Amino acid sequence: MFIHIMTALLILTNFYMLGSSRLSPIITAVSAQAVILAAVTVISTDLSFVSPEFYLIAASLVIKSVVLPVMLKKALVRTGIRREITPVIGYSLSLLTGVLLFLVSVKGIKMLPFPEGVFNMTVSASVFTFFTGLFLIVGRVKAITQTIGYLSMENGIYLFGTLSAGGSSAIVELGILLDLFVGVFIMGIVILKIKREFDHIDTDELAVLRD
Amino acid sequence: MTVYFSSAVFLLSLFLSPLIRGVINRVKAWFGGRKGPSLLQPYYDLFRLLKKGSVYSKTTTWIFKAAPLINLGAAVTALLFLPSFGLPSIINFEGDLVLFVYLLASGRFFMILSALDTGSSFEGMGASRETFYSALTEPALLFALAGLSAFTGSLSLSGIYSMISKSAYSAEIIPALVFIVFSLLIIFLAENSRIPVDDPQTHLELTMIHEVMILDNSGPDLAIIEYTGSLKLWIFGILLTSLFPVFPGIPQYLAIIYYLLLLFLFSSFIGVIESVMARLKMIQIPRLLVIASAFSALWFIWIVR
Repeated sequence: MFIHIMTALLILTNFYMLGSSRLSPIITAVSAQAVILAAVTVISTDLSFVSPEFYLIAASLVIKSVVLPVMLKKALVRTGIRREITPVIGYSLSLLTGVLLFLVSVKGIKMLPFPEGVFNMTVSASVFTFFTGLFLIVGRVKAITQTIGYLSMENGIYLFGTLSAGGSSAIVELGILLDLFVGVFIMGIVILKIKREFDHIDTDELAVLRD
Repeated sequence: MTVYFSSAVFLLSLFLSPLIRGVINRVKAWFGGRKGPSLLQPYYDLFRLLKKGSVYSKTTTWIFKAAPLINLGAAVTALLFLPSFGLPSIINFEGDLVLFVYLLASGRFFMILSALDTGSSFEGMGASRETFYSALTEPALLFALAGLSAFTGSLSLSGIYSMISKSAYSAEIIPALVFIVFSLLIIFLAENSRIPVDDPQTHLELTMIHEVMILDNSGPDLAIIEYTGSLKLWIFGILLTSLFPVFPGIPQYLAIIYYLLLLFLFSSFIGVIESVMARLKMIQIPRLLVIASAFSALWFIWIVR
C-alpha cells in the first residue's frame, strides 16, 4: 500500500516538472523525488539501522533533497531567473509527451525480468523519471532546468538500480552521486559565469562561436 | 424492488439538483464574510423566471425556442442512464456510457446553435469558446470512463458503479484514484463553467463563456436553461462522488443518506475552490484541460498496465 502511494507520488512529481514553468517549485519537486526514493529504498530492502547501506542512503537523501536543491535555489536567486519563458517544447505538448513516455515505460519494462515482489508500476515510474529528466534536458532552454533534468535522470537510474539489484546498489549510487555533486557544483559556477558574461543563461544562444 | 428505488432516486435528483447551486453560493458567501442567500434561492429564482413571459428577438428562428427544451431533454435522459446512490440506473445496456457522454454533448450542440441563431457577435464568441473547451474536455471524460470500464470489466455505467459499490478497491488501485478524481474534478469545473475556467457571476461579455450564450434568453426559457445547468452539476457530481462507495451490506436508505451528504460535501468543496481561486487566463484554460486529459490517460494506463 505504502509503495503504491509512493509510486503515484513519484509520477505526480514528474508531471509537475513537465507542466510547470516556474523553476523554484520544480527544484522542490526534484528534492521531493529524492525523499520518495529514500522511502521506497528503505521499505523495499528492509534494512536495519546498523547496516552501512542505511547510512549511505541517509547521506544520499541529505545531499539530493537538501544540499543540491539549496545550491540550485541559490543559483536561481543570484541569476534572477524565476521561470522558463520560451521552452523548446510547450507545456501542453510536454504533458502529452509525458503521457506517451509513461506508456512506453509501462509497456517497455514488461520485457525485463524482475525479482519477485517488486511492484511493476514502481519500476515503470523509475524509467519514467529517467525519461522525464531526459525530456527536460532536450526540451528546455535554461541551464538550470537542464541541471534539474540531470538530477531527475539520476533519481530514475537510482530507483531502477535499487529495485533490480536490492540494497547493494547503494554503493553504486554513491559513485553516481559524487559525479552528480561535482556536476551540479560546476554547473552552478558555470551558470553564474555565463550570466555575468552574457546577461542570460539560455543555452540556445550559446551555439554560435566567435572570436 | 430496485426499480422502485431507482425511480424514487431519479425523482429525488430532479427535485434536489438546484440545491447544489444553493450550497455552492452559500459557501462562497460565507468565505467572503457575508451571510449569503438562502439555500433555497435557486428555487425562488426558477419560480420567478417561470412566472415571467418570454421575449424573442426578430432574428431568431424556431431553433432558439427549441434549444432550451432539447437541452433539458438531453440532460434528463442522461440522468436516466446515471446510476446514483449505489443503485442501478433506470435504463442501462452495454455501451451506454458513450451514449451518456454524447447526450450531454448534443444538448450543448443545440445551445451553441441557439446562441449562433441570435446573430449577436458576443453570443457567437461565447459559442466558439464553449465549443473549443468542451471539445477539449471530451477526451478526458472518455478516457476516465474507459479506465473505469477496464477496471470493472463492464461497458455500462450501471455495471461500472455497481461493481465499485460492491467490491473494495485493491491496494494497487487506490493511489490511481487520485488521478481520476483530479481529472473528474477539472471536468466538473469545465463542463459546468465554474470558476477556474469560467465565472458564472461575471457581467462582462468579453470574458464570459457559458453565460454569454444565454444573454438573449428570458423568462421560462432562462429558467429551463438554469435548471438544466443544475442537473448537469448534479450529474457530474454523482459521477465523481460515486467513486467513494459505502461498505456493502448497509441498508439502502442509509446508503442514500451517505451519498447525499457526500454530494453536498463535494458541493461545499467546489464553493471553497471558487472562493480561493481566481479565473485562469483564457489562453491557460487549454493547458488545464490537457492536464485533465493527461491524468485520465495516466489512470487508464495504470489500470491496463
